[in-house]
Amino acid sequence: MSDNKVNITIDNVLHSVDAGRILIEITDELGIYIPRFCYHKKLSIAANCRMCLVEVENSSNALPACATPVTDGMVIDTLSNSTKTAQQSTMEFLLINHPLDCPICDQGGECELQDLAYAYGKNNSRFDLQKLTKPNDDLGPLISTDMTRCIMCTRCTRFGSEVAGIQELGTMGRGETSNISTFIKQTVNHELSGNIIDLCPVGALNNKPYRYTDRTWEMDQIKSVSPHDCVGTNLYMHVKNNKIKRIVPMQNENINETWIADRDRFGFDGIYSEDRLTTPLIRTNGTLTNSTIEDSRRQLNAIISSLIQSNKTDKIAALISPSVSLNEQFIFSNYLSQLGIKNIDHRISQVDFSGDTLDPLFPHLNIELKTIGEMETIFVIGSDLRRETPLISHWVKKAADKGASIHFIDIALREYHFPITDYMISDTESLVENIGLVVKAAASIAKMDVPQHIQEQLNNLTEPTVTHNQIARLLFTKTNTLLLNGLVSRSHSDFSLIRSYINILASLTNSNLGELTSGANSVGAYITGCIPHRNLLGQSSEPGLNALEIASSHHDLLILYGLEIDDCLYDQLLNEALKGSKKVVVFNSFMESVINEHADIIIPINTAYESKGSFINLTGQVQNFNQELLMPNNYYSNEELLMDLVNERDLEIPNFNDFINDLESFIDQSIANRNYIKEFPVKASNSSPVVTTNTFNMYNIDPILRRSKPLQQTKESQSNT
Amino acid sequence: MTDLNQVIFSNINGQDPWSIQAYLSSGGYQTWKSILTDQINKHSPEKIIDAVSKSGLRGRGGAGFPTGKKWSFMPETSQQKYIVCNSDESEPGTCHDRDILKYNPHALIEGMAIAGFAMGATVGYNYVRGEFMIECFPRIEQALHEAYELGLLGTNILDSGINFNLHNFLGAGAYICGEETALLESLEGKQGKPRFKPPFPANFGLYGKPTTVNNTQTLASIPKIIQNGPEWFSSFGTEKSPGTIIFSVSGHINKPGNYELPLGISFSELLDYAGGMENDKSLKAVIPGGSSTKILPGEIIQNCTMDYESLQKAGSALGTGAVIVIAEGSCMVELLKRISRFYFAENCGQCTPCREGTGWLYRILDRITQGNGKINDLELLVDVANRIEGNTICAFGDASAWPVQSFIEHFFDEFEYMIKNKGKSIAA
Repeated sequence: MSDNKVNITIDNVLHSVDAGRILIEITDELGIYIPRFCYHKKLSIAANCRMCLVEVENSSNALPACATPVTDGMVIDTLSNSTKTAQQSTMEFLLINHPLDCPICDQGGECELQDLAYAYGKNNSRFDLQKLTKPNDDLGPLISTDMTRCIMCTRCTRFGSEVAGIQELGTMGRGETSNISTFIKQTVNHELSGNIIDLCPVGALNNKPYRYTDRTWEMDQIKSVSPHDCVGTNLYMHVKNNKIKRIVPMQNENINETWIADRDRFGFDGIYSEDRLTTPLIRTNGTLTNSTIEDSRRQLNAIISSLIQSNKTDKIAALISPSVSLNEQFIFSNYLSQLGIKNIDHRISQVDFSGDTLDPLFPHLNIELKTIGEMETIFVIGSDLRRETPLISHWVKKAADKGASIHFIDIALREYHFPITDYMISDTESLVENIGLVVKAAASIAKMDVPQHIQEQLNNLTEPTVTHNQIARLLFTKTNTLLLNGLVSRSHSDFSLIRSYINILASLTNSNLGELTSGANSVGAYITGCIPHRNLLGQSSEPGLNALEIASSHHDLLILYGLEIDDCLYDQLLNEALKGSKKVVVFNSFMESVINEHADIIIPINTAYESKGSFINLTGQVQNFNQELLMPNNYYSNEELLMDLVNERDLEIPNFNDFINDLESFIDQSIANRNYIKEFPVKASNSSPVVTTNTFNMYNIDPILRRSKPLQQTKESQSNT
Repeated sequence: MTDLNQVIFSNINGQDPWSIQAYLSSGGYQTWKSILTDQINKHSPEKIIDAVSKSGLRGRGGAGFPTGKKWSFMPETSQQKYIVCNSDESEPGTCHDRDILKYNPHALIEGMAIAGFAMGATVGYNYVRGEFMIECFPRIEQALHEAYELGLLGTNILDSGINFNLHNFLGAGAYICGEETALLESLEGKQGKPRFKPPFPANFGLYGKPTTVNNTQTLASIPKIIQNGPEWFSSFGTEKSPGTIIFSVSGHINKPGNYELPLGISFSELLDYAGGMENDKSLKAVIPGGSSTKILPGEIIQNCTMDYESLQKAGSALGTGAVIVIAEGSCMVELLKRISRFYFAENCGQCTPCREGTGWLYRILDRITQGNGKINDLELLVDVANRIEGNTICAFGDASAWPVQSFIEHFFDEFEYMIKNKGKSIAA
């Protein structure tokens, strides 16, 4: 027996286990079930429900398995009479005031209390007095309460203080009138707050939009991936009659643990919005009239044919949403390139493209998401992290809670619920300079030369301050360090220079680097060639127009795929482009008045929630989903629709399966071989306008979220309209 | 008769005994000054803890844990350590800490300073129950002010290199905050809810730092023990219950009040001090150590001596030394209902058995007194109490269960009579 092992006996069987571990963890691993309510493996120990009491030899009382560390020679009996009596006693106490009207409770059928009551409860209650009731709270549009059902396990309050970092719910009062509530009529607003619905073991905290709509045993469970950000959160969709009824987390310890963001949970509501596009529309005599898929496809083909015949493929441009599936990107991009159309882009939130030639093969994070939690120093540059990627913010919080130093530089002060070492606020223009000063400090600490043209930039800067030096020093001295470059940087008019600074900083300090992107599949868009300067799998090509140039000019044919005006950072410009282009063809899931005003052909497509395909998240992980059964009406799938366009012209596009077979090794090699030193773009021309915004609504970032009624009623949406 | 007031209250007979002048003139702070001048040889921390251990002093807050042993649990560490005084005296029947705070506050301050020095705690907190806001808190604040004025507290006290800063803290009036970990939570500004143990406060106490929590009476005994030696202290009392204790005697007696007496005196002697039974009624029962301890019928307690072993052997406990005397003619059902009402109102609501069970107990008792009792209610009461006992985070569950168990055990007939006679008391 090694030093850190102890022998314990559970139900007459001897086990050698790690010393000091909590008993319930060990029994869970051994498959020995001990009932529990307050215990949750992701939360701190409360030991308040008393359901996990077990008999331990030489202890006068039964001990809570969730709070009892194992010691050598411990003898535990999980089946003894005294264990049973203790557990049955707790169950009896829990049930005396809990309503026994499971058939009308939303949690019925998936209730931990209901399940355990079958095993540990009595058929008849000895309690013949009046049950207590408790008042409900308005927690906002996402979570409804039925506080009379609450058993005070405090999982929800612990989630607030430990995971979210802000205790929006707390315990009030004492004795039997204790209840869970908010601080003076506040609502629950944290971006991960919906997780308390899953944590609640009873029907006290419910999914408000889903409540009273369906029963858990009538739904099918389909694995899915969130289409709302680059994290690739794993989800389960609960589906009945081909309709999504609710979404819950799928555990993935590398990506999202057991948590999902509220927009992953409640966003899907948008796909059932009233302005969902169901019929193709073609403009005839100035008005849009209903058409068929075949007709609209034929018309689009006719427009393309005439432009090809008159040698005007350079007058065709396409913008595609960064959130469509890899499969669609693949066909769409190859379709256009086979036609000789080079003007394609998905980077509708970027304005500075001067570094395109030195772009990495795709923007990414070179470590696993869970590894962020192990970092000792994290420097977040130009990012509204909680809104951009709630779960990456969660991982950064994990690192911060373990004592990592966290540094921010941003154009606005934003609220974070974890300890931050320093937070530099600069205006939009001096953001670049401040990042440069950290590089300058790092270069002087590292005593390394930086490339000449960057050195010239640095020479023009003032001297680094204490803060710049501290960040540089910590990045340099700590082993596990990470730079996160956010969407504020990405939409900055000097993005290329910021990026080169950050690349140099990463190589000077040997730091990991993560580049956040908008949309769920920017990585896929890069790899499939939905960018003007690269083809499939990163092959360079003669550049076409980038997103800003497409939006800034008039075309003979402008194609929009899966995006809306509001998705584009330069929506005014895009509006002008729509107005000025001769023909506008739109693939969209929703009716959008601005686009419809200028569109000549509108073809309905399925949303990601109703598609088969894959997303590649920012760590390069390809995640598949297959939800075609959810297609509304009898649409073509998006793939079929696009393949019909390809086949209509007898185009030969590469085989998708071959592409998929090569994909993973391509991604792995690209990340492994990335050489930051070679990616030093020159100084930007600085001619493009500064359009970086300092506030945005995290529930207004894609067409689906924009239409999700519950999310649009949140405080976030109401205060950011 | 045995002499009263030989340790804690030995100096409170003069004028304004709470003033620092009176305390100093009766030899107060001599122990502390002696430590400040010779902290290496005569009064090393080890020697002080050793003396406390040898004196046999046991915690007077109710549990009776040996104080020296508790002090020895404090780890050697460079971390901040704390000494906390539990002046949240809330156990029904108990009022001795109130008199210490009121009449002899400097004994407590000196005791805390000595305890802090012995355990390496440079900061102390005196947690005073909220209800003492008007009566005791100004006194203890004044005393603290006086001690600072004379330079007996603070940083580098009298150039000794010893630091000890003491703060008084007024609670908000919750019985549960007398539980030491609930007290620490409350002191940290949180809801007063007990922590699960382990870890114990000696390892993870106030703000997560090593902390010892002692009762007011315990700490106020310390200066005299160090000054006169452990043998002197243990010359009072019995072998296993040495020293003196302040009995708070209340109920149907002629002279209710606090009586500091050696442990081990007979119950009848204590009753004599308290002036005997009111109106010469005969003794029916006694709750010997505060309302949580089990009730003992008169014929049992009359043969007991007032110390830890004797009362434990009789089936109860010395507890806080709060002796509640009950005369013939009292209704035991009403009395238990009143006690259960207290535990129902004062439980913190954190863990299931107390939160759900204490209200159940009270409501059953209530309906019995209303004449709506059912014949199996007595079995139910005892069973519910048994299911609370031992199954909770702190000892509150036991405290709420013991009265129910013991009242029904000793006075079953009275309960049964009331149920059968629709709420009519046998005592009436």
